[in-house]
Amino acid sequence: MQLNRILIASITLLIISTSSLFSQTTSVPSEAKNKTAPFLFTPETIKTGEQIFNANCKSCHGDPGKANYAKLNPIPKDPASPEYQKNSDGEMFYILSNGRGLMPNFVNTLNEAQRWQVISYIRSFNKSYKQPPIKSTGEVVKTETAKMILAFDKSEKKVFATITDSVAGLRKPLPDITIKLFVKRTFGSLLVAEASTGKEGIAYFNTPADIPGDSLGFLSLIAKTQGNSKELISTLNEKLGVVTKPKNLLDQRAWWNVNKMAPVWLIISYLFGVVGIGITVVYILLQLRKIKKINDSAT
Amino acid sequence: MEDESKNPKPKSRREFVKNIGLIGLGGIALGSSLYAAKHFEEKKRGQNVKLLTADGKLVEVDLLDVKQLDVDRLTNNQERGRKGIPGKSWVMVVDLSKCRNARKCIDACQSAHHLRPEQYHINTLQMKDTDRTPAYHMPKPCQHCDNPPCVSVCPVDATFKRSDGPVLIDNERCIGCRFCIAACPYSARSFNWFEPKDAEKDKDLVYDVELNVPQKKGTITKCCFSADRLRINQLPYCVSACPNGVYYFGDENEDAITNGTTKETVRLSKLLSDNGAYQLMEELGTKPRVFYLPPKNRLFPFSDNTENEKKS
Repeated sequence: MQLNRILIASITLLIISTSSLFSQTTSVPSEAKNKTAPFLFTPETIKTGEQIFNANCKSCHGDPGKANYAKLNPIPKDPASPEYQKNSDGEMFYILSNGRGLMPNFVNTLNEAQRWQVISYIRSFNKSYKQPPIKSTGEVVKTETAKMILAFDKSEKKVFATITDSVAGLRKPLPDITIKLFVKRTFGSLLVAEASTGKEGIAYFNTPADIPGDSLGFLSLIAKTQGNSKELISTLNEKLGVVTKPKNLLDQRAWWNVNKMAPVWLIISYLFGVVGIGITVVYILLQLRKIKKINDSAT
Repeated sequence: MEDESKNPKPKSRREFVKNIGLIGLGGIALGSSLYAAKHFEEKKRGQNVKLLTADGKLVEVDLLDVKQLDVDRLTNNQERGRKGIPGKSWVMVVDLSKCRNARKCIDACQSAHHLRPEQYHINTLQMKDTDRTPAYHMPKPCQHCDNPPCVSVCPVDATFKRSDGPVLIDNERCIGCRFCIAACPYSARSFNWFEPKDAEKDKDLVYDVELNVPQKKGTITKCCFSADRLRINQLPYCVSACPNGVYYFGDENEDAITNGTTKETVRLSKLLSDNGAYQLMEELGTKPRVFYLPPKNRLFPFSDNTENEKKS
């Protein structure tokens, strides 16, 4: 009995602790922990950060310092709390980018600069915070002169991207840069392939063959380099998709309230019915007249 | 007396004169009415109409100025609202495993469509499929069926299906018969029993079919798939308001669908097949445009936070 009670109590305790601690279990990789912002936090970055925070984070986290966060389990902490502020900039950036527990990721919603601006806003509530010196993060594409060109190789039937940097007037290929290839869709970009540049600075993409294109099969492709402070973007329009002929939903005669949309069988059977009733009525009237005639001639 | 009765001539002359008079009067009435009808449109300018302004002043405005502007814009809106966006076929996916009843979708929807708090175009329902399975929250908008029973029963062609998917309603045509409410198996429609919330504020607004604003007493109101936002290439109000990534929205023809919270775009066919998506009451043959992903691997326990939300 005693043992049972202890067992139940410990299980309940375990459930409570795991359910509320759920989000804390996600670990941040050590290299991400040490990441620093690519710019110094200024009143301008804090102000833009505040706007981004109010639009994207406030609904759950409330106003920093006021502890008016949404009542969720686990609770979305107040960003101004010491518990929150003890995270390094890199940890905050990682969580903001990848999400944690109930918190969604913001990797597609906010670009890198915007995410850092949010962090600068959150740090403005910490009086003892001092921004760590900006590290050179060893990014591959740093120079303003780097260029990416997206093209289609007709013999290989593949899309490829070339990244070069101009060094002393010469174009030098940049190897080992990861490029993501997207297809433009109505509300966002669909990731279709990822590749890294080789020694020649060229990356070939294996694009899936079953992506719906426009009525001629054209796809609008966008290549982006990832994880760099200078994001290279290149676009290409190429006949790589499946030819899509959008079906008109109004082609089917499916609803009954207007003639032009009513199914043909319905119109025909309705007309048959109406005409049939009409003929029957006329027939009955004729028969009645006949009876009357016979009756008249008999008397 | 006898002479007169025997001789029909004087009587017929009197009759003739009487008839002429009648024909003449009738002719004049007909002619003048035709003339008035013909010149009605041209004669409108200069005719003033008395109007009460919002601040209680009585003003006179030229009838022509008042009517032409509004009618033109109204017909424009009505015509545009009936035309689908070419080549598009909108679908929505609701991921039940992520919904924790934040009700932000409902707030965004009600403020966009100027709805009273008890009117829902989208609502989160508490579901419990069996005694053994845990409860979950299910947002339920209009399913925008490809074979909509509500459209079939409308006697005045007020509600209609559009070529890009949405089922909309034109309140300028709606007679408030509520057949569509009876026909809809998803209870997606509601009736404006009272004066709408913003009746005073929206007085001067020109009715927009795609937004269904201003709402009108005695007509139906329903989810529009945010057709006004789709026209400007933006995600619907509810989809972009969700803080938990519940909603995906996109074009079926592109086979891509975008999450309203994370803005991540994924393949529609893959999302549906990987997660075992289902539709509501598919067996009725309504062909809904809203898909549901089952409430598996949920990150939170079920809690009935509806009351808390209302209090706060």
